[in-house]
Amino acid sequence: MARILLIGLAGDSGCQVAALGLHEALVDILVANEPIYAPTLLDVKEIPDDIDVAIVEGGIRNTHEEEIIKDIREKSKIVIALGACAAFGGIPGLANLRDGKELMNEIYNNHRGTDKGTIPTHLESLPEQHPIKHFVKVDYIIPGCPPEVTDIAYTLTSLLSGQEPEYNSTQVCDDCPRERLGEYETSLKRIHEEIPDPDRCLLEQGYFCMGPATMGGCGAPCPQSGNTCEGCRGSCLDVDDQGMAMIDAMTGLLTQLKDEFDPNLYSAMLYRFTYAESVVSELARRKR
Amino acid sequence: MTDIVEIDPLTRIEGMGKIKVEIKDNQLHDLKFQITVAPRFFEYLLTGKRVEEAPRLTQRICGICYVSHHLAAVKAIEDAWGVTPPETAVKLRRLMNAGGFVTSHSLHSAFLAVPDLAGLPAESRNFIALMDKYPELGKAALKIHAYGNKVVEATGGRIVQVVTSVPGGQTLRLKEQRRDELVEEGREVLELMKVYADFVFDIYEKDTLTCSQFPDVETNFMALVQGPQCDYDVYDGDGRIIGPSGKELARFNPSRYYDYIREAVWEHSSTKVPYYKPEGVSGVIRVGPLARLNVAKQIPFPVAREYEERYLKLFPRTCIQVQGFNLARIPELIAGQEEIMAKLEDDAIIGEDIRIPVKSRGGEGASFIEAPRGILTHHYVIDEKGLIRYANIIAPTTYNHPLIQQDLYENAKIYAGEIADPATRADACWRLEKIVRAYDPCTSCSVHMADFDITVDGGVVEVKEVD
Repeated sequence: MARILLIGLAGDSGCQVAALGLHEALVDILVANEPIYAPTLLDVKEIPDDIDVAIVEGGIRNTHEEEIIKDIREKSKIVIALGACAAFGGIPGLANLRDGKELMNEIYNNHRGTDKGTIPTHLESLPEQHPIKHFVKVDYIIPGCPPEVTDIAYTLTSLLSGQEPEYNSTQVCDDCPRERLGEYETSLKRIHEEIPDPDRCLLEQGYFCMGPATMGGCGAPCPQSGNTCEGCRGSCLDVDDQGMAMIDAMTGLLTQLKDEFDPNLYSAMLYRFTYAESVVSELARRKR
Repeated sequence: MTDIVEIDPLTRIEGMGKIKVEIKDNQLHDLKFQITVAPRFFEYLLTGKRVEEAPRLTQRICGICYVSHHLAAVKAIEDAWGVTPPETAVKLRRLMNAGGFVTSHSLHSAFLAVPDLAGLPAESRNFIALMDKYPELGKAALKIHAYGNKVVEATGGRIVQVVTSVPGGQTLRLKEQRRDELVEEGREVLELMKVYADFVFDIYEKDTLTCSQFPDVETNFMALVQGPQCDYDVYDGDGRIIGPSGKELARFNPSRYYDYIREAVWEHSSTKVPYYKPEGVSGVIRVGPLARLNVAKQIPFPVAREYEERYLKLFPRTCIQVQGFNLARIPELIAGQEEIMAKLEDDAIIGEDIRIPVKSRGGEGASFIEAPRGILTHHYVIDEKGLIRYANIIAPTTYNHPLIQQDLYENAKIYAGEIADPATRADACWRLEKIVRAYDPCTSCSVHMADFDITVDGGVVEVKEVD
């Protein structure tokens, strides 16, 4: 019987909802083990000692969350980062593109429809959103926004039976049934402006699909549903920076382009989920 | 002598929050309801992005009502561009939205709220214990929740974050075979829902104290309504605000929301607090299931309507009782299922015409939708390249925040002695937590961090800045 902790920090609880997608299987895992702390499910108020497996959703954006993650690490044998926010910073990490003070002014004092003149002063916010590995050692990540239920079940059952879970070594394109011909369109397209061929690779058709730069294992539900991969599972195994991998993957398309390339149209799209841990964010931090 | 009691973290709510109670000589001195989830600045991070990214980015505000954000965003963009998607696309979106209601309401009811009502011992008020004591009920709840997910997946491409709504329509068709499977399973789910609903209704009907154990605060209510009769609709319509006596104060379409709703900022609190503009900052508004059943005339589905009637016997309009929230969710859960069935049985749902291509251009647009927790507004200003220049999102929990605070304050005043006494503290604190839970607050939805303070001045409760 393993002692399990499940907590959500700066995130949206979606990973825990995704885990609920396991339904009876999740109840079985919980009943067979000992859930000791899970604020969304149980009324336990203190984080207990001697945690075997801590599952953490969400990133870190204030000192309160920083204290909690450090406390959990100290008390846990294994820490799992569940989902993109915990693992790479996630979508909230895109706010790191700008200075925290400027942001506060923008949102609270210079926003149409909001009363002017007051900026909250009590915040103990950190200047940026961080993945939890910024503060503590993380043993495993379960990537994705949301993480796949099959990954959650696999990682938990492996760990609970004393086995090392392995990461997926494929890319989203390996899961995608769309056909690749190695031929590219001569213009970049936006998903609402034309109706893509349902059977051909979206990137080859000129749509900004992150599949080649994103860890596989999800079954490519987004391209199969007619929309592009957003890159929510982060970079492929052994790749450090997702955006650079994507630029590399786009070479074929970019060399065919007839239109002028307007970088404003691609703001943050290379790093929707991984900006907080990207090489460029590190450069921006140093410059600041 | 001052006692400080903290309920930290609040449990069985979505996200993280706490309550801090200060008691001096057995009298309530101060109470703070705090959301400890950090602000995530979504409105900022949207600026400069392609507008078609909004439906996919904003759904990350909330892992439970992601469908609502996805659809609110696409509706606002289509409003800005004057685009009307094909009929099948609108029906697919309504189907997805109803699926979102079924998952969200069943999740809240079975996992968060009902463990408080089902007579479980204090140390095990949770779903696992509920399932142990009432296995059939627990299984029914899981099945209902799973079905809602299936509907969302069939229309949205996956669960917890969907991908299919783009300006001009939907990217994914519902095929006939999948539709037929969903219809068949859906019939069974509707039967399970009745069993589940009777279980919850029995609790309230047998013990009316469950309904009235808390003192309640008078407020305005707001919800979406459709047509001249103010019919219940969770997808589209006008915002309607009523006062505590039920009198209509305003009815307006999304493009006019600025005339009626403003957002206040306080120095020591960082969630914005929306209020009914003509009444100033004291014009607080409740939203969510309680508000919808107060504001809309009636639910247009027969089974849900029966349960709505039963609900209205216990919580007649205009109901200001907080406990009404938990029961109001039940007819709404069934309404969600009946809407699913109605849409699935309409052959237009399997139509092939689901999208029209749309050119990017400049514009400004706003939308309303009912999220499970209450009315949600998205508003975008788009430049001629189709990039977002301004975004404003008013999430339902921000309306309810000051009300949760006021309700907690009024109740803590009565229980102050019990909270101070270690022998009775646990039970008194549990009653406070139940108030928060009834609202089903979505702390991550409130986008910015909250920290309210309440003082009492001449018997009138006022929300004020912390000094």
